[in-house]
Amino acid sequence: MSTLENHNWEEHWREEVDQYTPPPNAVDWAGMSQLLDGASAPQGHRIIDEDIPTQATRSPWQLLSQISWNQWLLLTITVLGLGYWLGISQSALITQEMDDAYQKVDTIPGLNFPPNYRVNEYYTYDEDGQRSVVQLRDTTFFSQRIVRRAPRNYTTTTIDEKLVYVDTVYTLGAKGNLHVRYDSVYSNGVSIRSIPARDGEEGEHSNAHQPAKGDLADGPSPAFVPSSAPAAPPTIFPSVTQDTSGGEAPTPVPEKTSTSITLGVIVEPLPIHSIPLGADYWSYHVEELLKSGRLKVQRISLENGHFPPIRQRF
Amino acid sequence: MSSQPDTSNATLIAACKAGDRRAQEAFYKHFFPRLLPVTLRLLRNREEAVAVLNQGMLKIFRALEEYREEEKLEAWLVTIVRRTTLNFIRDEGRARRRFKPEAYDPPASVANGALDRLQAEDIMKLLHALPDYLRIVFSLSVFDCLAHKEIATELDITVAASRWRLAKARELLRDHYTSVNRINEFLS
Repeated sequence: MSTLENHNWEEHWREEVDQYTPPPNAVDWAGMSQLLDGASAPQGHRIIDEDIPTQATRSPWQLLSQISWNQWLLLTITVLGLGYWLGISQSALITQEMDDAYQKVDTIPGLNFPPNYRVNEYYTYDEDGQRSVVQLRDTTFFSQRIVRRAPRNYTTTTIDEKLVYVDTVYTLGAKGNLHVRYDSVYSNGVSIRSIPARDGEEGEHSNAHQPAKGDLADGPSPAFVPSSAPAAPPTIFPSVTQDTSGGEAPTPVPEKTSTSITLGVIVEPLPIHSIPLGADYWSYHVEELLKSGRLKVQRISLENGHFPPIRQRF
Repeated sequence: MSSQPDTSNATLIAACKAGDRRAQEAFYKHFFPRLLPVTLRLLRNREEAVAVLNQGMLKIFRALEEYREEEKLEAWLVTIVRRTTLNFIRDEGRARRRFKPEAYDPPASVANGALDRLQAEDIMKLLHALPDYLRIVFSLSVFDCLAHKEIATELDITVAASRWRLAKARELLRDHYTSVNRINEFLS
């Protein structure tokens, strides 16, 4: 008998059995009743039986397949909105953390760009070339943007229509701030770094017009501008003082004095919001980050591919 | 029996949940005719089938608290009863044993070779004449429409064994019915 013939009579059998409904008799129910009497479960007790199909057997994919298109649309909009809100809130949180961390290193928030640079310390050099701090003042501001172009190690800027040469050293701080260090200052093409000005004109730098700390809104001050007025009491250096003891008629030598000049200053720009970098930042925050679980310490081992002896060997 | 949501079923279920014995009896008698063939076509005789069906009914009464989808009530009930029956078969090891087939008394009213014209009671008699290990595979394949892979999983046998048993059951059913009918014709 072929498969088709099998299919014919099996189909007939299936229909017949489906319509077959033998009625129960009294004995059947009596047996069932005895079962119910003997196995009454306590009220509220949940029966867990593997033979009982439950709704929990539905997979999440089956549930998702029953969602209509408008429900999908609503779900998508909700998820996107939630993601956008989370992104906004997280970025605000990170920015706030960076602001907090920046304020700890005593910087001044900026108002505009280009920022005003601040000058904290002033140095002078004696005739032996030793640097000494002669002034630790309030912050002095000026707005010129200092740009050094390689390979030169100095830059030029104009202050009160005078060309000033400034040697600069750039360093990148832990917060991504650009520190500009003024090692030497030139005026009118003459280096005044190691030779203190003796004529008292071009080498004098006055900070008399510095704004008080916090006067950011007043704009740049004329600080760091050469002026004729000495900024500090003159200092007489023995090596530049003419010897007038003995000998012939003394030649009138103009009194040479050395004035305090501003040679070394540290200029810090205003905060730049960027991703925190640098070992200083991490060492500063490492304990805090470890406690909060945002930083994980991983031992160097062969498994993670960072075993120094192996690397060095090859 | 309708598969649509039925308010009378809902009322009956609510009363059964409350433990009303008369409601449970009505529920039992209402669904008994539909559920008994599920066990009857898998097991050897009616007594055994009713005993297993009652076990399944007990599980159903206990699980009515879990039931929420009234539109699929009948399918839910059939599933419970079929799983209970298969568990019984596994526990008894019937899927592997080779019992001797019972004697078969074919109906005289059915013509020779008319397998496609048999009535349900005669079909059941033919089925019960098969050895257990063949009848169970045949019933699951033909009446429950399970694939051989599913049958193999349920009975803990191989797929090849399931295929072979189905073919063997078909062969035995045909041969048995034909040979007995020849005897009947000769006697008549």
